[in-house]
Amino acid sequence: MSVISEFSKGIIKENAVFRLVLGLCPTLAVTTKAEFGLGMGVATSAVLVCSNLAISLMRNFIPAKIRIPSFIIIIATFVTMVDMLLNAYMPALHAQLGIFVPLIVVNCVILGRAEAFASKSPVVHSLADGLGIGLGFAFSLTLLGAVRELLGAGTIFNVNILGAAYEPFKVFGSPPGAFLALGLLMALVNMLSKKYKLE
Amino acid sequence: MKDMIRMGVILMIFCVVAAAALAYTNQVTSIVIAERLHQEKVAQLAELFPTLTNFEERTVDGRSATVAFDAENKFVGVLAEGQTEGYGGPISFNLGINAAGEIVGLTVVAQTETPGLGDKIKEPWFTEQFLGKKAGDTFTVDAISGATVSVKAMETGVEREYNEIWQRFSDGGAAGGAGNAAPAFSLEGVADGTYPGTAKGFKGDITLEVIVAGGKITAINVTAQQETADRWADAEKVIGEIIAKQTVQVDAVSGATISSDAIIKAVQNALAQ
Repeated sequence: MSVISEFSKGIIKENAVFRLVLGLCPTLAVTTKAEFGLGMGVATSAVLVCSNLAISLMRNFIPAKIRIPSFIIIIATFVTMVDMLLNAYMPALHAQLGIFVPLIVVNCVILGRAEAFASKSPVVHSLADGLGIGLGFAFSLTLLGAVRELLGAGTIFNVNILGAAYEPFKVFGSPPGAFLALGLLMALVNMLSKKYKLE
Repeated sequence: MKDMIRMGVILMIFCVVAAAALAYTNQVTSIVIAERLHQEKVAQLAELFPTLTNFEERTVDGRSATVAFDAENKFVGVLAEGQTEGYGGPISFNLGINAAGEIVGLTVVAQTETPGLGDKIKEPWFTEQFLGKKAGDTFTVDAISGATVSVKAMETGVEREYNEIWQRFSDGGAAGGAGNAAPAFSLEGVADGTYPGTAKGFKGDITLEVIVAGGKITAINVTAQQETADRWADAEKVIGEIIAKQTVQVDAVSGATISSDAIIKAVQNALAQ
């Protein structure tokens, strides 16, 4: 596959959230607002791109028997760096994402890409894959956050959309609402991709 | 066996590189984080002690507390953590006391009381009943039905901790804070000469010399410091301001509060000798 298709596949065709259904723990937990979804998506993407790059670079050096601990060390290092940087430069987002930033270490999107792709592919392809999947993940989280914020509070990115007369569905701001919104969006994405033959 | 050693070595290399990368990131970010926590603490303390401009951690007889000062370095209040034994385990709370000895703030920070009954002690309407109490007052408050033990625990706990804290810190805890205390500042009666002073900065002691000539501060030479280079460049600006205004009542440099405060304190310490 070409570098471009490695990049573009992650956005819709192999979208981590809607098609592969990976990394749902942070997806469901942090998407109460569009900005938190975007923040989490960008933080995860940053780790994914860095870990894909590092693992691809070292793929011939890591013995197969210890690849999982090696991947975890590499991923955990990047996650901890992102955690420190967020704490230093974006404290509000850091406080909101809380425990979910350190939990990026065990995000199966990242470990999945490391194991299934970066450890077997050249550097440029791995970078493209990481960017694509990361972008798709960030996009999905932002979309889910936007839908939940719109229905649950009438706003998107804290901008009031539906006006004061709108009585919010409070449930979309709560954990059950996350499942509802994710299920509906997934159905919509499936329907659209069938209709326009994106498979 | 050989394979085992090889894999061990490879994992070790990963760990060493990871540790180095994390150490570097930590070095860069910890300063920013500490600076922010400092600002947040100032904001939190400012709610209890409106005239506060600076604070210091002090320990007296084994109890540490945050002691707040106003612009003239006068003691305005103290914030300390207290503990009491509740129904479901220890209850810890933050107790703020102003310079008049009155409780100005009480927040329960951790408790394991029965949900719905005893845990009401953390609610503001309950803790607010303690506000304004001072030495000699009775520390009894309205009972909560179904939560008698928790309420009693708070009454005795707050009274005991109040007495313990106030006994140690009613003077601002000066006795225990000797190493880093900020003595009153005055240029009057300071003879010409060179005065050495030290105060604790962000990474270690800052040592400097204050040169006084003709009753004026003419120069401040820093002789030793281990602060982070770029923060220090900012912090040093405070020296020019001290000389220009001939006082230590200058503002800390934002972005380098801890280092610049330490310079101010070192100058105070030098001239108080």
